[in-house]
Amino acid sequence: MLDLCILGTLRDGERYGYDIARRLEQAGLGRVKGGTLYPLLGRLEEAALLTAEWRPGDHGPGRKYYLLTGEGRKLLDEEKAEWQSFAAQTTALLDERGST
Amino acid sequence: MTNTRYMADLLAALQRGEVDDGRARDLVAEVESHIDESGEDPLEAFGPPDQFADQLMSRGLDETDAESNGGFETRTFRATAFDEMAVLSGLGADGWELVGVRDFGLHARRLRDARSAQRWDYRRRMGVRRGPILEEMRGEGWSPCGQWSWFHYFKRAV
Repeated sequence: MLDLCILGTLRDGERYGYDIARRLEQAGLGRVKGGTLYPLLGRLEEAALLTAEWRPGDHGPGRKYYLLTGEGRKLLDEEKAEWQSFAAQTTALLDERGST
Repeated sequence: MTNTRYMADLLAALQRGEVDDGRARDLVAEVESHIDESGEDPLEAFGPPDQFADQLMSRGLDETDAESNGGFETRTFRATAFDEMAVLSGLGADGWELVGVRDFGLHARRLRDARSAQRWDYRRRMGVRRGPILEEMRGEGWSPCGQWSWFHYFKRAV
Protein backbone atom coordinates (compact mmCIF):
# COMPACT_ATOMS: atom_id res chain seq x y z
CA MET A 1 0.00 0.00 0.00
CA LEU A 2 2.92 2.38 0.58
CA ASP A 3 3.29 2.96 -3.16
CA LEU A 4 -0.36 3.99 -3.40
CA CYS A 5 -0.04 6.26 -0.34
CA ILE A 6 2.97 7.96 -1.95
CA LEU A 7 0.91 8.67 -5.07
CA GLY A 8 -1.81 10.00 -2.72
CA THR A 9 0.55 12.56 -1.13
CA LEU A 10 1.07 14.01 -4.61
CA ARG A 11 -2.58 14.34 -5.54
CA ASP A 12 -2.70 18.05 -4.67
CA GLY A 13 0.66 18.99 -6.11
CA GLU A 14 4.37 18.32 -6.24
CA ARG A 15 6.50 17.36 -3.26
CA TYR A 16 10.14 16.39 -2.69
CA GLY A 17 11.27 13.19 -0.94
CA TYR A 18 11.62 14.42 2.62
CA ASP A 19 8.33 16.33 2.33
CA ILE A 20 6.60 13.09 1.19
CA ALA A 21 8.11 11.26 4.21
CA ARG A 22 6.79 13.95 6.57
CA ARG A 23 3.34 13.87 4.98
CA LEU A 24 3.16 10.07 5.39
CA GLU A 25 4.20 10.43 9.02
CA GLN A 26 1.56 13.12 9.65
CA ALA A 27 -1.02 10.79 8.13
CA GLY A 28 -0.18 8.23 10.82
CA LEU A 29 1.85 5.79 8.72
CA GLY A 30 4.90 6.15 10.96
CA ARG A 31 8.34 7.21 9.89
CA VAL A 32 9.13 5.76 6.47
CA LYS A 33 12.88 5.44 6.18
CA GLY A 34 14.76 6.94 3.27
CA GLY A 35 16.05 3.47 2.46
CA THR A 36 12.46 2.40 1.74
CA LEU A 37 11.11 5.62 0.25
CA TYR A 38 13.65 6.46 -2.45
CA PRO A 39 13.81 3.06 -4.18
CA LEU A 40 9.99 3.18 -4.33
CA LEU A 41 10.00 6.71 -5.77
CA GLY A 42 12.53 5.51 -8.33
CA ARG A 43 10.31 2.63 -9.41
CA LEU A 44 7.21 4.81 -9.58
CA GLU A 45 9.17 7.26 -11.73
CA GLU A 46 10.41 4.42 -13.91
CA ALA A 47 6.84 3.19 -14.34
CA ALA A 48 6.00 6.72 -15.61
CA LEU A 49 3.52 7.28 -12.78
CA LEU A 50 5.67 10.19 -11.55
CA THR A 51 8.00 12.72 -13.15
CA ALA A 52 10.73 14.50 -11.25
CA GLU A 53 12.61 17.77 -11.52
CA TRP A 54 15.54 19.27 -9.59
CA ARG A 55 15.22 22.78 -8.18
CA PRO A 56 18.09 24.67 -6.60
CA GLY A 57 17.82 25.47 -2.86
CA ASP A 58 19.28 28.33 -0.83
CA HIS A 59 22.08 26.02 0.23
CA GLY A 60 22.98 22.35 -0.18
CA PRO A 61 22.20 20.22 -3.23
CA GLY A 62 18.64 21.51 -3.86
CA ARG A 63 15.49 19.40 -3.96
CA LYS A 64 14.12 16.84 -6.38
CA TYR A 65 10.38 17.45 -6.77
CA TYR A 66 7.99 14.68 -7.81
CA LEU A 67 4.76 15.23 -9.70
CA LEU A 68 1.98 12.80 -10.67
CA THR A 69 1.73 12.10 -14.40
CA GLY A 70 -1.66 11.69 -16.07
CA GLU A 71 -1.18 7.95 -15.88
CA GLY A 72 -0.26 8.17 -12.18
CA ARG A 73 -3.39 10.17 -11.43
CA LYS A 74 -5.54 7.71 -13.37
CA LEU A 75 -4.05 4.74 -11.50
CA LEU A 76 -4.53 6.54 -8.17
CA ASP A 77 -8.22 7.15 -8.94
CA GLU A 78 -8.78 3.55 -10.03
CA GLU A 79 -6.96 2.08 -7.05
CA LYS A 80 -8.76 4.40 -4.65
CA ALA A 81 -12.14 3.20 -5.92
CA GLU A 82 -11.05 -0.45 -5.68
CA TRP A 83 -9.64 0.07 -2.22
CA GLN A 84 -12.83 1.75 -0.99
CA SER A 85 -14.91 -1.10 -2.33
CA PHE A 86 -12.60 -3.72 -0.77
CA ALA A 87 -12.59 -1.86 2.58
CA ALA A 88 -16.40 -1.52 2.55
CA GLN A 89 -16.88 -5.24 1.87
CA THR A 90 -14.40 -6.22 4.57
CA THR A 91 -15.97 -3.84 7.09
CA ALA A 92 -19.43 -5.24 6.31
CA LEU A 93 -18.10 -8.76 6.84
CA LEU A 94 -16.45 -7.84 10.15
CA ASP A 95 -19.68 -6.20 11.32
CA GLU A 96 -21.85 -9.10 10.26
CA ARG A 97 -23.73 -10.72 13.08
CA GLY A 98 -26.26 -13.47 13.14
CA SER A 99 -27.05 -13.60 9.41
CA THR A 100 -26.81 -16.95 7.69
CA MET B 1 30.62 7.24 9.38
CA THR B 2 30.60 10.90 8.29
CA ASN B 3 27.99 12.10 5.79
CA THR B 4 30.70 12.83 3.22
CA ARG B 5 32.09 9.32 3.60
CA TYR B 6 28.60 7.80 3.23
CA MET B 7 27.94 9.72 -0.01
CA ALA B 8 31.36 8.69 -1.40
CA ASP B 9 30.76 5.02 -0.52
CA LEU B 10 27.26 5.10 -2.03
CA LEU B 11 28.55 6.66 -5.24
CA ALA B 12 31.33 4.05 -5.44
CA ALA B 13 28.82 1.21 -4.89
CA LEU B 14 26.54 2.54 -7.65
CA GLN B 15 29.49 2.93 -10.01
CA ARG B 16 30.61 -0.63 -9.28
CA GLY B 17 27.09 -1.67 -10.26
CA GLU B 18 27.64 0.10 -13.58
CA VAL B 19 24.94 2.68 -12.98
CA ASP B 20 25.29 5.51 -15.48
CA ASP B 21 27.41 8.29 -13.91
CA GLY B 22 24.76 11.02 -14.23
CA ARG B 23 22.12 8.74 -12.71
CA ALA B 24 24.45 7.72 -9.84
CA ARG B 25 25.22 11.38 -9.00
CA ASP B 26 21.51 12.21 -9.13
CA LEU B 27 20.72 9.42 -6.64
CA VAL B 28 23.50 10.51 -4.28
CA ALA B 29 22.40 14.16 -4.51
CA GLU B 30 18.88 13.14 -3.52
CA VAL B 31 20.18 11.28 -0.45
CA GLU B 32 22.33 14.30 0.41
CA SER B 33 19.33 16.61 0.06
CA HIS B 34 17.26 14.39 2.36
CA ILE B 35 20.00 14.22 5.02
CA ASP B 36 20.65 17.95 4.75
CA GLU B 37 17.01 18.69 5.48
CA SER B 38 16.15 15.95 7.99
CA GLY B 39 19.39 16.04 9.97
CA GLU B 40 19.25 12.21 10.08
CA ASP B 41 22.25 9.93 10.16
CA PRO B 42 22.53 8.46 6.62
CA LEU B 43 23.53 5.02 7.87
CA GLU B 44 20.47 4.95 10.13
CA ALA B 45 18.05 6.32 7.51
CA PHE B 46 19.29 4.49 4.39
CA GLY B 47 21.24 1.49 5.70
CA PRO B 48 24.76 0.46 4.64
CA PRO B 49 25.76 2.08 1.29
CA ASP B 50 26.29 -1.27 -0.48
CA GLN B 51 22.87 -2.57 0.52
CA PHE B 52 21.12 0.68 -0.32
CA ALA B 53 22.82 0.76 -3.72
CA ASP B 54 21.50 -2.76 -4.39
CA GLN B 55 17.96 -1.63 -3.56
CA LEU B 56 18.27 1.35 -5.88
CA MET B 57 19.70 -0.73 -8.71
CA SER B 58 17.05 -3.44 -8.63
CA ARG B 59 14.73 -0.95 -10.33
CA GLY B 60 15.87 -1.74 -13.86
CA LEU B 61 14.78 -5.36 -14.08
CA ASP B 62 13.37 -5.16 -17.58
CA GLU B 63 15.52 -6.83 -20.24
CA THR B 64 18.50 -8.79 -19.01
CA ASP B 65 21.07 -10.58 -21.11
CA ALA B 66 19.80 -14.04 -22.01
CA GLU B 67 23.33 -15.43 -22.33
CA SER B 68 24.25 -14.62 -18.74
CA ASN B 69 20.90 -15.76 -17.42
CA GLY B 70 20.62 -19.40 -18.45
CA GLY B 71 18.72 -18.58 -21.64
CA PHE B 72 15.97 -16.72 -19.78
CA GLU B 73 14.77 -13.22 -20.44
CA THR B 74 13.29 -11.39 -17.46
CA ARG B 75 10.65 -8.72 -17.55
CA THR B 76 8.54 -6.65 -15.16
CA PHE B 77 4.82 -6.44 -15.88
CA ARG B 78 2.57 -3.76 -14.46
CA ALA B 79 -0.26 -5.05 -12.28
CA THR B 80 -2.09 -4.25 -9.08
CA ALA B 81 -3.66 -6.32 -6.33
CA PHE B 82 -6.96 -5.97 -8.20
CA ASP B 83 -6.04 -7.15 -11.69
CA GLU B 84 -2.91 -9.23 -11.19
CA MET B 85 -4.61 -12.64 -11.38
CA ALA B 86 -5.96 -11.86 -14.85
CA VAL B 87 -2.52 -10.62 -15.89
CA LEU B 88 -0.84 -13.72 -14.41
CA SER B 89 -3.22 -16.07 -16.14
CA GLY B 90 -2.21 -14.60 -19.51
CA LEU B 91 1.47 -14.61 -18.63
CA GLY B 92 1.44 -18.24 -17.45
CA ALA B 93 -0.17 -19.34 -20.72
CA ASP B 94 2.59 -17.51 -22.61
CA GLY B 95 5.33 -19.29 -20.67
CA TRP B 96 6.20 -16.52 -18.20
CA GLU B 97 7.26 -17.79 -14.79
CA LEU B 98 6.65 -15.41 -11.89
CA VAL B 99 9.79 -14.94 -9.77
CA GLY B 100 8.71 -12.05 -7.53
CA VAL B 101 6.04 -9.47 -6.75
CA ARG B 102 6.75 -5.86 -5.84
CA ASP B 103 5.26 -2.36 -6.11
CA PHE B 104 2.78 -2.68 -8.98
CA GLY B 105 5.21 -5.06 -10.66
CA LEU B 106 5.20 -8.76 -11.46
CA HIS B 107 8.75 -9.90 -12.10
CA ALA B 108 8.76 -12.83 -14.48
CA ARG B 109 11.14 -14.82 -16.64
CA ARG B 110 10.76 -16.91 -19.76
CA LEU B 111 13.05 -18.91 -21.99
CA ARG B 112 14.18 -16.85 -24.98
CA ASP B 113 12.92 -19.67 -27.11
CA ALA B 114 9.31 -19.04 -26.10
CA ARG B 115 7.97 -22.13 -27.92
CA SER B 116 9.79 -24.48 -25.55
CA ALA B 117 8.96 -22.46 -22.42
CA GLN B 118 7.07 -24.18 -19.61
CA ARG B 119 3.46 -23.02 -19.07
CA TRP B 120 2.33 -21.99 -15.56
CA ASP B 121 -0.82 -21.82 -13.46
CA TYR B 122 -1.12 -19.24 -10.68
CA ARG B 123 -3.12 -18.99 -7.48
CA ARG B 124 -3.44 -16.24 -4.91
CA ARG B 125 -4.25 -16.82 -1.26
CA MET B 126 -5.05 -14.16 1.30
CA GLY B 127 -4.15 -14.37 4.96
CA VAL B 128 -2.22 -12.79 7.77
CA ARG B 129 -0.49 -16.01 8.76
CA ARG B 130 1.67 -17.24 5.90
CA GLY B 131 2.83 -20.52 7.49
CA PRO B 132 -0.40 -22.55 7.32
CA ILE B 133 -1.15 -21.27 3.79
CA LEU B 134 2.31 -22.35 2.61
CA GLU B 135 1.90 -25.78 4.13
CA GLU B 136 -1.51 -26.34 2.57
CA MET B 137 -0.51 -25.08 -0.88
CA ARG B 138 2.75 -27.07 -0.93
CA GLY B 139 0.70 -30.16 -0.09
CA GLU B 140 -1.22 -29.56 -3.33
CA GLY B 141 1.94 -29.12 -5.41
CA TRP B 142 2.10 -25.33 -5.49
CA SER B 143 5.34 -23.37 -5.00
CA PRO B 144 5.42 -19.89 -3.45
CA CYS B 145 6.52 -17.22 -5.93
CA GLY B 146 5.78 -13.88 -4.30
CA GLN B 147 4.11 -12.01 -1.49
CA TRP B 148 2.58 -8.54 -1.26
CA SER B 149 1.18 -7.55 2.15
CA TRP B 150 -1.37 -10.27 2.96
CA PHE B 151 -1.52 -11.65 -0.59
CA HIS B 152 0.48 -14.82 -1.19
CA TYR B 153 1.20 -16.04 -4.74
CA PHE B 154 1.80 -19.59 -5.87
CA LYS B 155 2.79 -21.20 -9.15
CA ARG B 156 2.49 -24.71 -10.55
CA ALA B 157 3.79 -26.03 -13.84
CA VAL B 158 0.96 -26.97 -16.24
